[in-house]
Amino acid sequence: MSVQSIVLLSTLAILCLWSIAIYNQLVALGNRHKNAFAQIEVQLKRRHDLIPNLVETAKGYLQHERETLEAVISARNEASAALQAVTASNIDPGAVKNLSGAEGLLGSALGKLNVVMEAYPDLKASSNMQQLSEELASTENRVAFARQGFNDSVMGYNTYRQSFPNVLIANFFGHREDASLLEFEDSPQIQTAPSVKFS
Amino acid sequence: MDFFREQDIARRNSRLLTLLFGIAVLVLIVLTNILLAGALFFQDMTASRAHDTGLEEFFYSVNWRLFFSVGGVISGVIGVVALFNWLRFSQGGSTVAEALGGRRLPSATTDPFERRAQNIVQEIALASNMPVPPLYVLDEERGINAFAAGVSPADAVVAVTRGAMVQLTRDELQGVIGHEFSHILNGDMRLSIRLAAMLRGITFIGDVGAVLLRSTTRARVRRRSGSKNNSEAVALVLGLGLYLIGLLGGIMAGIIKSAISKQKEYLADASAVQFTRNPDGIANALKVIGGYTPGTLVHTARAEELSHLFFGQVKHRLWSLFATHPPLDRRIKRLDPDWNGEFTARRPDHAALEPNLADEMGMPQASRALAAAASITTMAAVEFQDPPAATMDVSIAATTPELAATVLEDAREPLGAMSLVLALLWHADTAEAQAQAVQAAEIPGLEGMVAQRGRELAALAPELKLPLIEMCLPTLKGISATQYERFKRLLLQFIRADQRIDLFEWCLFQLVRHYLDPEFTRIKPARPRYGALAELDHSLAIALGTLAALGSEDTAQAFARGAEVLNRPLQLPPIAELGVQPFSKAIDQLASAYPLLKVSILKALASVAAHDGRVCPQELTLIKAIAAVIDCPVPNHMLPTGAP
Repeated sequence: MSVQSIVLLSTLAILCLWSIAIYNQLVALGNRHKNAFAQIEVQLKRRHDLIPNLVETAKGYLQHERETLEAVISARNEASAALQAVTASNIDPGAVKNLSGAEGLLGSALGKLNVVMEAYPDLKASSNMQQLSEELASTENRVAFARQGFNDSVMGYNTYRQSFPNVLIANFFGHREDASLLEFEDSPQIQTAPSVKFS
Repeated sequence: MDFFREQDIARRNSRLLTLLFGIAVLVLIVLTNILLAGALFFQDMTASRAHDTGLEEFFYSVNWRLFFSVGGVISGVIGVVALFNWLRFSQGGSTVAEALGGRRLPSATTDPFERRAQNIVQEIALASNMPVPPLYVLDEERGINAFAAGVSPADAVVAVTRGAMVQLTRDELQGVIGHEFSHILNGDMRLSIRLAAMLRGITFIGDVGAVLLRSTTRARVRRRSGSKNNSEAVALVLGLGLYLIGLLGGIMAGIIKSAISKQKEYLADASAVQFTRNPDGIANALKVIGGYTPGTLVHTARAEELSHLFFGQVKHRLWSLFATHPPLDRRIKRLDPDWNGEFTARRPDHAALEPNLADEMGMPQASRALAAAASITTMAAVEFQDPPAATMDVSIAATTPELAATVLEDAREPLGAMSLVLALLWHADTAEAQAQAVQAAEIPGLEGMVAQRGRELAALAPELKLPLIEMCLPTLKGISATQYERFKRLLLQFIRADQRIDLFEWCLFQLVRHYLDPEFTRIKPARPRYGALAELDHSLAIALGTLAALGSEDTAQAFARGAEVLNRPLQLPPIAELGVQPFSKAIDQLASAYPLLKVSILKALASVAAHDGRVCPQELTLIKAIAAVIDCPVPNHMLPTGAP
């Protein structure tokens, strides 16, 4: 074997190994962001499971706030149904839109309940309630973090896929499209400042 | 703060530094190789004595095959040493956490602080898209610190100190845990263990040089021959060269390693912001640490060895070049550029800092304290194989039931605990002076209580005094710093009321001081100074002699027994010379011994106490106090058996 062929062969081998490494990294990053999406679902469900406990605990103290409590329960039931619809329809964009609308309603109902609870120091001080509100705060964080984690990993995947020379290998081996970021369906609501009315 | 940019910078810097580290190792190997080849060449040349020396000659005559095989051998040796160290340190995360005294939190914990910490770990796991690691807590540590351990995300664990769990708000703790997750995600533990292993490989070259140097100089001294032995001279130069390469290389590599570690900390801070999207959380946590008296110090013995894992610097470092963490204010500035330089002062919440283990075991506090009091004495009895003591009536409650109830109640609230400790020093003869001192001390509610308790406790059996003190001390952590200041002054006035200090008073004061001072002031641990028992003979003789004179009927024999355990030819000092003052001085000197010596000193003390087959409460109190002063606290079940 001549020196040239040895050089050629070893260069080829190195290139081959390099492409394999890039490909594997692409697969790992791709799976990571898919897993991240599943997590959002899990956390939403966790929130739906917590709310009946919260209402049950609050009931004893909030005799005169039946309306607020009922609003929370019905918002929770709707959101829960919407989540099931999303899972059943295999992440259909329309169902996702419904879900985020229902989640928005649930969030505002919970916000109202929080304001009401401020007026009942006994309730806030009860250890049961403190435990529940810690769990709820944690769940809110988890929903937010799961979304954010999803977007971060999508960004990681896209950046890796688009940079050179990874982009050549990605296009060749079926990682042709960027993953899309999860956007809030309720972005217009978030962007408008909340209005406060005094009547 | 643009955390993605910060992360990129930190990543690039640490990659460059790692490259530099690799180059440094290579250069060192080549240097060692040249040195060895040179030594071989000169030996050859002097053997044949054919030519003049010359650089050109050197290059011609170097046997390149030999040169490379020597290089291979050196790299191989460094590699083996590095591999050995890598295997030694790369244990699973849970092993490391347990070695540092961590307790794994059960997933169904009910303690609100533990619950919160566990929730946060799960949240950050979501934000960083990683599996949820087990959470450990270091119950004994009141400093604010945390660490991640384990070489891969699969076996990684996160641990926080009790101080961090209790003193930080939810957002701050989130920042701290996010920081630790970054270490796991970026494989920082793996990198730092690798670097440490390589560093060990480099210093190994220096060790070989030192051995060579010592053996040749020794051989010279032995022979004392005038004849110049060339191979000996070459070995000497070779040894010196290797030693210098190892030393300088070690220093250089150490500095690079610490620079990498600092970059990794910046990266982790930026990642914590990425996970929480809340720069205030981690910045505030750092500010709280800056203003918190116990700081980030962690006392566990092995903490120093694993210092690179922690959230903040574990020990104070004089030379920041080798520190594993960047200075606190620089870290805060990066997170919060508008920072005004002020730390957040947060007073330790003592009640919450005590882990609530009793409730978990389903045991009410009072009966637990009683059980502890009982166990202290029985334990001593069993450990020292002491038949008469085993029949000793052990619980306070059993002797005087009505006293027990009030005393136990008092011991659990700060004012009561203060009055109990003072009451132990109360004496009918000096009652007047002591009452005046209490009035002058301006601690509201204390007057009257002390004298009354003093009269009640006058009849207290001596073996119950130590358990009583030990019950009061944790409660006293709850008083304020000014109150402690006054209490300590009052304590001294009580002790000096009769114009003399006896041994029990000394013990009580030392126990209080050593248990409580770290709570209220920053303590600099004593630097170990004495490496051999021989340097401490005088102090050892006084310590053993005092203890022997206290308990045994046969002082000389008990003393001889202790000297035998230490394996030192000690002379028993005249009994008249043994006073509290020389004793106190002696113990202070013992405190500067190396930690391993302290254990054998305590063993010797225990064997003196147990010499006559009976350990009296005074002896036990004295040993406990000495252990506290020399900063080598021994739990009761660890006291060595003193079987003669």
